[in-house]
Amino acid sequence: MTILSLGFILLSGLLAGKLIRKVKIPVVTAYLLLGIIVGPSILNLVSPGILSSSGLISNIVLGLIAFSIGQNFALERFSKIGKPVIWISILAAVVPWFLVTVALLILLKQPLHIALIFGAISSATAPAATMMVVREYKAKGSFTDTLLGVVAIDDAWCLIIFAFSFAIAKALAMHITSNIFIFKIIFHSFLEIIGAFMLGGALALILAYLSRFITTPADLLVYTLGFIFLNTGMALYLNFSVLLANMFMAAVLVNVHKVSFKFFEALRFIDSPLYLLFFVLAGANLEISLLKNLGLLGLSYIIFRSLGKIGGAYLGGIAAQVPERMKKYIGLALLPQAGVALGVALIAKSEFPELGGMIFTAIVATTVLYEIIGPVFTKVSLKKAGEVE
Amino acid sequence: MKVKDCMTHEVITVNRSTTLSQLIKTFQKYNFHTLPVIEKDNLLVGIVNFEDILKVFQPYNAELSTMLKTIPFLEMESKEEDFQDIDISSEMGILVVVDDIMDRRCVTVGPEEDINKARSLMKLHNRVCLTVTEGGKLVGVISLFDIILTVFREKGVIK
Repeated sequence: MTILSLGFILLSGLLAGKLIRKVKIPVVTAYLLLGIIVGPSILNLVSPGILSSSGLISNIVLGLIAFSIGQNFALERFSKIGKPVIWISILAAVVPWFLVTVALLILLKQPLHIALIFGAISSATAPAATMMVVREYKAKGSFTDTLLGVVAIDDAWCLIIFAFSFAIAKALAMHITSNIFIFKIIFHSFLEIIGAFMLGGALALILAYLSRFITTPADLLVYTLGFIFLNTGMALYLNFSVLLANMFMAAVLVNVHKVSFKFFEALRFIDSPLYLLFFVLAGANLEISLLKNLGLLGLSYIIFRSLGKIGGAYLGGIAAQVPERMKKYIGLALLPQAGVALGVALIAKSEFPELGGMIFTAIVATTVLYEIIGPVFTKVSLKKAGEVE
Repeated sequence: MKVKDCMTHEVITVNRSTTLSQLIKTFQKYNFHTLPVIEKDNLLVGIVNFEDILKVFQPYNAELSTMLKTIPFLEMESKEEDFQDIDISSEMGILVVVDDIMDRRCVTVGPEEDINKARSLMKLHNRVCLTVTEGGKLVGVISLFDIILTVFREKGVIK
């Protein structure tokens, strides 16, 4: 049944993706909606074996995502990123995190660790959806270049923000009744982050050194994937941040290895079916019964995330002294939310079993909404900026 | 056998400021798939192959294009280019230069290396041609055909 389910998911996902392209909505939306329809809440066509392996698949996919994003930290490349891209990407990630956290904590009286998790997830965007709109409308110019630069690196900030927030949230949940509460939180968070850096850095050096023995593309794929699994598994075992460990492994690798691009290119042969599976399973994990309780929470998340993206990008624009049209409209183009948000929400779900279902369902529901309306806003902002005919 | 024994020493090259139309004419004239890009003192700065010409259909520069390759799920949202519908003006022939489209990620081999090492690098990186450098300077190119030719000549298959 499990293999049958896998075949069904891959083929129906491919078909759903082809169909949704006709209405110019990101393919990710098709996979999510397919997952919701075939999942246990509606048709129940996905085998329990596959559903129970959602955590495994999401950890693998998140490892791949974090590893892929980490290659942006090549010093040579990073130094060429302009001030506007740096400022806008950082503030458009930090401000929504802050606003959503404060809003959920103060307005909705959510516990601090839950508010922190929602805040961190809100900093993610959907670079592929933004790219889809840019390609579709053949947008070009300085606004488009800055926008694409921002979406290329802003999920890296999201992963960093999430790793820190998650470490604090876990420590908060664990030591809420302890006497030496603050000290324990700082100690556990510090250990999780520093441990991830050390693990990722050490494995990157070993990976780079031993790669001289790899001589065929097939070996290269096995070798790269093996190191990502090793890194992810050790991070999970040692309770370090999986995201930071993989991102840092890639960051060290691109700076110590002359032809490091080969490792990242090797993964391209296998990532598509894994990503498809990841999105369909994310949809299948949505608990429809929880949706009715999410009205106010979902609405607050959408409002404060949107305000944060628009306001944060505006502040970033002020800091980098960009033209008025860029300050005003670039945040609007950053509204889509997709894969990284879902991935980190799945991590939160597995860590906080009691409230994780609520977090995950809220993120899947808002992702579907953002993936439908987000590209429309991206198009509007490109038009307002005068870069679409 | 060493790389320097098989490689082509006289290499056709372009530089960063070579225009798109000059580049296409060079490809047409010499019928090569890949050309090294050099700057002063033969310093290798990249390679350009005729597939890189497709980058002119994208509305962003080469640096940004490299960054965008790191985006997860991007392949899922991409679709086939419609060559009939490509937005390209006749001025692009002189406005676009090699620097805009070249690949900065070179796979190189040293002239003193064994040819098996060169073959192994070609297989690993899925290339049929490598640039040969010494201290960062281009000294030749070696293709799979160069290796085959030399080995066959040595074995007496061809004279």
